[in-house]
Amino acid sequence: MKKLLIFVSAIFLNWSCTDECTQTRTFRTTIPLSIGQEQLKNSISTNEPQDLVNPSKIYAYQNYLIICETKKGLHIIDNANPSSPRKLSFLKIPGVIDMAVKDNILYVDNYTDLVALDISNPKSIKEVGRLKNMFNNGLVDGISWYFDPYSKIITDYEFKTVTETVKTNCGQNGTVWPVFRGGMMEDKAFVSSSGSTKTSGTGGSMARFTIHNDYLYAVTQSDMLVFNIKNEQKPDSVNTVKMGWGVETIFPYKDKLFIGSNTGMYIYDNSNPASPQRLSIFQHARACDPVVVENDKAYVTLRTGWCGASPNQMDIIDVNNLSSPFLIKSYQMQNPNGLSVLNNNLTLCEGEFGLKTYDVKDAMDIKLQQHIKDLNAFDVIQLDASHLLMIGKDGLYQYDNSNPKNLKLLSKIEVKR
Amino acid sequence: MKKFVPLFFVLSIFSYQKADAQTKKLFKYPFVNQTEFGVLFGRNKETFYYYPYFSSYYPPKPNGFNLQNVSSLSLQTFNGFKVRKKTSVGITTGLDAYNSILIIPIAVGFRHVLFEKSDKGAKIQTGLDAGWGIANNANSLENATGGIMLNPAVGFKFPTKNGSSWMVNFGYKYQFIEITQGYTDDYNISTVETRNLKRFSVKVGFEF
Repeated sequence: MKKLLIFVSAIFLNWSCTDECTQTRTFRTTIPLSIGQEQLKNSISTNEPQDLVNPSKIYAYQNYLIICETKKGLHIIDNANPSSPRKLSFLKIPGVIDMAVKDNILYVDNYTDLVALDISNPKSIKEVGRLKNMFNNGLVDGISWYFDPYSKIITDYEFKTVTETVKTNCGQNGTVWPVFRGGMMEDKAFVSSSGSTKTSGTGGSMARFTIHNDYLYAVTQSDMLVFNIKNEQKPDSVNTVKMGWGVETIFPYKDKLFIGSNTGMYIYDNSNPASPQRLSIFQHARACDPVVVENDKAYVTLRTGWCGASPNQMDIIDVNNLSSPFLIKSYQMQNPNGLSVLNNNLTLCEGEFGLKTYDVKDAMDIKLQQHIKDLNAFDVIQLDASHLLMIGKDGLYQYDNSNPKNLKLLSKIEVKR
Repeated sequence: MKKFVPLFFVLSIFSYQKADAQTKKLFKYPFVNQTEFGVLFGRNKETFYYYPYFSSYYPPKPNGFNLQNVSSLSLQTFNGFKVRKKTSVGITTGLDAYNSILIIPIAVGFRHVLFEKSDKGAKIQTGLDAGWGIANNANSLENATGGIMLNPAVGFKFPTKNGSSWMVNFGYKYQFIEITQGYTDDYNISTVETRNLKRFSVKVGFEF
């Protein structure tokens, strides 16, 4: 009996009456990392081929395919035979977001700097020119970086999955649920399409870099930078065009530049390539919007993403009169991302809903040709009438699109995660 | 509806007792009911954290705390049989309102009279309930599951003339609750909170 009393009192003494609550949470968050600007100088190196991990933009140049691994580097792929592409090398470039090629010179962004690289031998790529302090900030995949010109430090962020255990207040003083950590800015799409010039390569509708004649155009969040690349080894900054916030993509068509921002499409006259002049704006709801143009018709996809919320749709816009573009018709889509148009064959990525091909001869009545459902498509380029590149979450697909009703898979480069 | 099933169970015990008053001879041992109502007192420690995030990830570091007294209501009913002169064994259930979460404990318990001067005098009684607490969700974003419940207690019993008695009990109540965040996305992968609630209980009740 006494023992029981002692036992009960022992429990009383040892066990406090303070609640103990712990929370174990696993979340993806952005972790800052600092890079000194001086480190950039020797940061570019050619490495052994690597697996695709998080491919974003693709760029086709002659027989080469360049796949951008956002902020990590570029995969150089020999695509002479589309049925069996061969990885040649991995070019490590910290902070790379976009690229463009002209006459074997690859122009990339290296955080703040614009770098010209000689890729005539893809196994040993040499840096031939560098323009410092061209970009001060950037935004890609919902993560932005910025440069502090006084301390000369670049602050960037990367995603990391973190598990931490903390003590909580057991839900007193109101509920602590749910814990939203990390950025909610998210857009699972990277986009591309086609535009063709002879000596330079082919970039996408989501490209921020584009080459027209001897000029390289690079759009940042708010400005368009114009570089003269006549002397290929020494790019020269010639102009900065202020455009307003939210600029995403640049697409050259004839002597015009079509710029997609998240509130509209800007049309610039490029007949004087050193200083493009704004002709008009076609405004739309706030959305992510790649643009492609063919035969005086612009195709704009709007989708819900971190750029804004809008209905998922594709607008066809008449740009015959560039000073006053007007909407021909809107088509309802599921989650349209990148698109590409060639000879009235429109190929459209629908994100997780697959890949669609349309016959767009009659803009008032476009016809669905094929819908490949069981893949995740972000980005597409129609290189020519029988060769189509498509990038998605699981890898890079190459199709023979000579028959738009029945695309033939040529090859696939897998993504390893 | 599912939530209320244990509630009906509790109510049915009350209604059952009325009918039982006349038919207690049906059982081999005399029926015992102890119904108590009281308050659970506890303390709650809120730890503040500093998140050193510069240039890499470091786990959060504790940076001060805040203690707070908390109290919650508790209702319990013990229904069992007097298997010995001083000992009863039975099942305990009730309601514990912890903050936003309502727990319905289901436990096996015993009551034992430790000390008495005479049959009609005041007695010292001890008891232990051990079982499981069933939790209900406080909101749609979280999923609460209950856990082990332990409730030792000591108290006084004051018999009345008609064979019933009043009780005052002092005890300790441990309740485990696990809460899983129901909402996940690419950023919020999983969140699990374990709550070890430790309370001092003061209860008054009635036995017949």
